[in-house]
Amino acid sequence: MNPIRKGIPTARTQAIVGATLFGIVVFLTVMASRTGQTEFDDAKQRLDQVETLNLRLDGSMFLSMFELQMDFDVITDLEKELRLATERYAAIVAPGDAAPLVEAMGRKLELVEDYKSGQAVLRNSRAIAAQTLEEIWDLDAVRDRDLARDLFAVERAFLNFAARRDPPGAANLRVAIEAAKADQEGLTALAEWPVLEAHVSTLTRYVERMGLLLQESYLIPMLPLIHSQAAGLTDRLAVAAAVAGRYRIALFVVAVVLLAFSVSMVTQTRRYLRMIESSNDELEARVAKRTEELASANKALRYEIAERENVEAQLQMAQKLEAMGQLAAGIAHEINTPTQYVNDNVAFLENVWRDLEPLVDDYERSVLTGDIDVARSRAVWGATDVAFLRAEVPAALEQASVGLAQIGKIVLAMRSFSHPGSDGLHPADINKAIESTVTVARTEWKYVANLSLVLDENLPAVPCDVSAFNQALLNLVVNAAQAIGEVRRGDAFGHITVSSRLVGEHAEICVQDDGPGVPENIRHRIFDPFFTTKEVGKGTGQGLAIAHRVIHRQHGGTLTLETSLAAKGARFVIRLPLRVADGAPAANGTAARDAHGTLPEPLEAAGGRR
Amino acid sequence: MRHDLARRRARVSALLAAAAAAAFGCVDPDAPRNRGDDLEPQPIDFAIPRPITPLPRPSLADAAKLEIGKTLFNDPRLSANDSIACASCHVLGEGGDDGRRLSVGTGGQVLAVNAPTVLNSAFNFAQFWDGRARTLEEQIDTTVRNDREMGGEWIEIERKLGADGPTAQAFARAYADGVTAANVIDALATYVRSLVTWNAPFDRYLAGDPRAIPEDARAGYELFQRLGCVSCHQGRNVGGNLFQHFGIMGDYFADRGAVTEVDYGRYNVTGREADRFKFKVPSLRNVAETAPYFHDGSVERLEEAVALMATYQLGRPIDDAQVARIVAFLETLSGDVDGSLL
Repeated sequence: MNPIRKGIPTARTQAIVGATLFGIVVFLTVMASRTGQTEFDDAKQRLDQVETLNLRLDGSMFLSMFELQMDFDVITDLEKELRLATERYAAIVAPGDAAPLVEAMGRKLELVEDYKSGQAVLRNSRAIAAQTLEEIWDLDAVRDRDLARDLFAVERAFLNFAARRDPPGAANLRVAIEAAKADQEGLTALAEWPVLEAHVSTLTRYVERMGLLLQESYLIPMLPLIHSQAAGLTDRLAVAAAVAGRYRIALFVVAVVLLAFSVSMVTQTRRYLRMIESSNDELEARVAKRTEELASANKALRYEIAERENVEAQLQMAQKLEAMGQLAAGIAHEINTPTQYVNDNVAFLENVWRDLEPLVDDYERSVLTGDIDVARSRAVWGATDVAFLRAEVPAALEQASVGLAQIGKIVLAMRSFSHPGSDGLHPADINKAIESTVTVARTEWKYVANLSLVLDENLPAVPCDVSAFNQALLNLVVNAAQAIGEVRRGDAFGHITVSSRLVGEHAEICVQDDGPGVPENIRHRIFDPFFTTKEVGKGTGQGLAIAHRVIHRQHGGTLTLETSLAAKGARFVIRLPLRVADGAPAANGTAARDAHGTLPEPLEAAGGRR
Repeated sequence: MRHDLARRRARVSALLAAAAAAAFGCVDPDAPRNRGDDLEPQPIDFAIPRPITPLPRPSLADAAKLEIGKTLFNDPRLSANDSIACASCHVLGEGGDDGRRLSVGTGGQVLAVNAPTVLNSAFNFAQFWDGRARTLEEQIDTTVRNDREMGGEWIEIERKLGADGPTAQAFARAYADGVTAANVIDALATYVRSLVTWNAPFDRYLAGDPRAIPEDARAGYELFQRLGCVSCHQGRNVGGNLFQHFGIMGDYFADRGAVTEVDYGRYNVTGREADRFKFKVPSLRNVAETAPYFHDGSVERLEEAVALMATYQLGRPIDDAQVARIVAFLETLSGDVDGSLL
C-alpha cells in the first residue's frame, strides 16, 4: 500500500513532465517543418512573373519605338500587370525586403507613362510636319527653284531625322531649317512655315527628351534588382532551412529524451502494477482469514442461538409445570368436593338398601311361596319409611350423578389444557381452548372474582399451538385474578371477562379485569423477563414474558396491554392471524416486532405481575 | 504553347520581326501563365501595325453579379439621403454621361469636372480625368464616398441593402459573404465592365467591311491619322491609355483663363511639375453622344472640340471640311451596349 500511495504525486509530476516533453516535440516538429520552401516557391513564382512582365514591357516599348506597334494598349496592359505582380510579390515578402524593387518599378512605370506621352507628341509632330511639308509642296510659291531646293534640303533632313530620330539628325534638321530661313524669305513668309518650324522644334526637343528618358529607363537596373531579390529569397531559404535543421537536431534530442522517459514510465508502471498485484494478493489472504474467522464466529453464534432456544423451551416448559403444580392443589380440591358428596350419597344408598331389604324379602315370601300374611307385610311396610325413601333416593342419585359429571368436566379440562405440545400451528377451536383454560384455572379466580366468558360462536378455526396458547392465556387469567386479589376489600368480588371475536383477518382474545390496572411508569416493562411487581418469592417474572413470546414468536400474533379511561383495570388483547403468512414467524421462533417497537429478545423477554 | 509559337513564327515573314517576337513577345514560352491573365500578348501582325483596334465583345458570364450590378447602378441608396444613383450622372441611353457641363452631386453641389462616360470605361488604363484611380473598383469606392459626389458611407449602404430582403437574397446567391462593401463594388465593376459598345460601325469596318462606314468617314479616318490625332487617340478605346498635355502646341488655359486647381490635372496626383496640365487622353468611343467636351465641359459641339484640339494639340488650324470629315469618322465610333444590360 505505502509505495503506491507514495507513488501517486510522483506519477502526476511525471505526467506533467511527459506532456511538456510531448508539447516540445510537437513545437519542434512544426518549427523543423518550416524550411521556408513553400514561401520561397510562392515568392519565386511571383518574382519570375515580375521578371517576365518586365522583359515583355521592355520589348513592347521597343516595338512601339520602332512603330511596329501603333497603339499603347499592349504597353498599358503590361504596365498594369507588372504593377500588380510587383505589389503581389511585395505583399508576401517581409516588409522592406521588396522596397528597392518596388521603388525602381515605380520609377520605371513613371518613365513608361512619360514615354507614351512623349512618343505620342513625337508621332503627332512628325505627322503634322510631314503633312505641312506636303502642303507646302503643293503651294504655287514652291515653283521657285531656289526655294524648292531649300525646301528639298529641309525635307531630306526631316526624312533623315524621321528615320533615325537621333540628336545629330535633329541638329541637321535644325541647320537645314535655319539655312532655308536665311536663304528664302519667301519660304518663311508662308502661312504653313511657322507650323512646320514649331513641329520641327517640338520634334528635336522631344527627341532629346526621349533620349534622356530612355537612357534613364535603361539605367534602372531592373534585372539586377530582380536577381538580387531572387538571391535574397534564396538566402532566406537557406537561413530558414538552417534554422529548421537546428530545430530538427533539437527535435531528435528531445525525442530521444521523450523515448527514454517513456521507457522509464513503462517500467515504473509495470512496477506499480506488480505492487498492486501483490497488495491485492495480501488483501485477498486477509479477507480469506477474516472470512474464516467470521464463519467460525458464526458457527459459535448459531450454536449459542440454538442453546438459547433450547433454554427458552425449557423455561417455557418449566413455567408450565410450575403453573400446573400451582393449579394441582386447587384442582384436587375441585375434584375432592364432588367426590365427597358422591361418597356420602353412595353411603346413604347403602343404608337405603338395608332399609329396603326386609320389604323385598317379605314380597318374595308372599308372592313366590304364597305365604301371604297381611299383618306381617303391614308390619314390614310400616317399619320402612317409604315416603322418605321416595323423596331422598332420587335426590341422592342425582347429586352423585352431578358430582361425577363435575369431576368428569375437570378431568376433561385438564386433559385438554395439558394437550401435548405439537410442532407448528394447526387449526384449533379457540373457544374450546379458552373454556378449558378458564376451567383449569378456576381455583385461581373463583375466590376473588366472577369470570364471564363472551365467546363468539362463529369464530373459525385459528392456526394455533393449543398447548402454548393455553399457557399464555392461563398466565393472563391468573395475572388478572392476582391483580384483583391484591386490592380486594372484604367479600367484594372483582370481575374478569374473557372474550373472543373476529376482527378482520384476526381472532381477538381479550382478558379484561377490573383490578388496579398497570401504572403508567411500568407499562413499557411489563413484558420484560424477570420484571415483577410482586414481593420476592411470589413471582418469577416469567408469566407475561412467556405469554408475549408465545403469541408473538410462535403465532405471529400480537399481545398488547390496552388501557382505556372508561374501564379501570387491565385489558390484555391477543390477536392471532387467521392465515399464517408465508415465512411468517409461526413456530419457527423468528422474532416479530412487539407493541413497543423493540425486538423481544427471547432470553430477556417476558415479565409482569404474578 | 510551342505549337502557337510555331504558327506565329510561320506567319511572321520578316527576320527582324521574328527576332523581335522571339526576344520580347514570347520571353519564355514555358513560363506559367499569370493568374487571371487575359493579357497574353495577341499575335502581332507586323505587316499592318494598326493604331486603332476593335473592341472585344464583353463576357457576360456572371449573370447573377451582373444583375445585382445593374440594379445597384440605378440604386440611390448608395448615396447620402438616397438622393442620386450612378445612373444619375451616367445615363446609359445618352452616351453614358449626363450631358451637363459639370455634373451635380448629392445635395445639388456642382462638381469641378465634366462627367466622363461609363461606356467602355473598363478599357481606360486609369479612371477620372487625372487618372487618380488605377482600377474601376477604386473609382467606384472613391465616387461613392466622395462628399461632393455621392456622399455615401459603406456601413450605411451595407445596412440599407442588407435590410432589403430581395437585394440581400440576390447577394447571398452571388456572394458567399452576402452584402459587403467589397461585393457591392465588385458587382458594380462587373456590370461596368460589361458596358462595351463593341458593335460600332467602325469596329465592323476594322473587321474588314469597308462599307460599314460612309465614304467621308473613311476620309475622316485617313485625315485623323495624317494629322497625328491618332498619336494619342489610339488603341481599342481610341484613347484612354496615356496621359497627355492639354495644349502641346498652344496655351489652352491661358487663352481660356480662370485657371483652377482641377486644371492642373495629373499634377494633383503625382506632384510632378512635368505632369502639370496633363490629363488622361479620353476615349473617343461614343464621342458624338458625350457632349459637352473636355474636363471643364467648356465646348458644346463636337466640331468645335475637333477644331479646338487642332489648334492646341496639332498647332495648326484645320478647315471646316476637314473638321466635318473627322466628325463623320468620330460618329462611326458610336455603338450600343447589349439591350439586356440597360
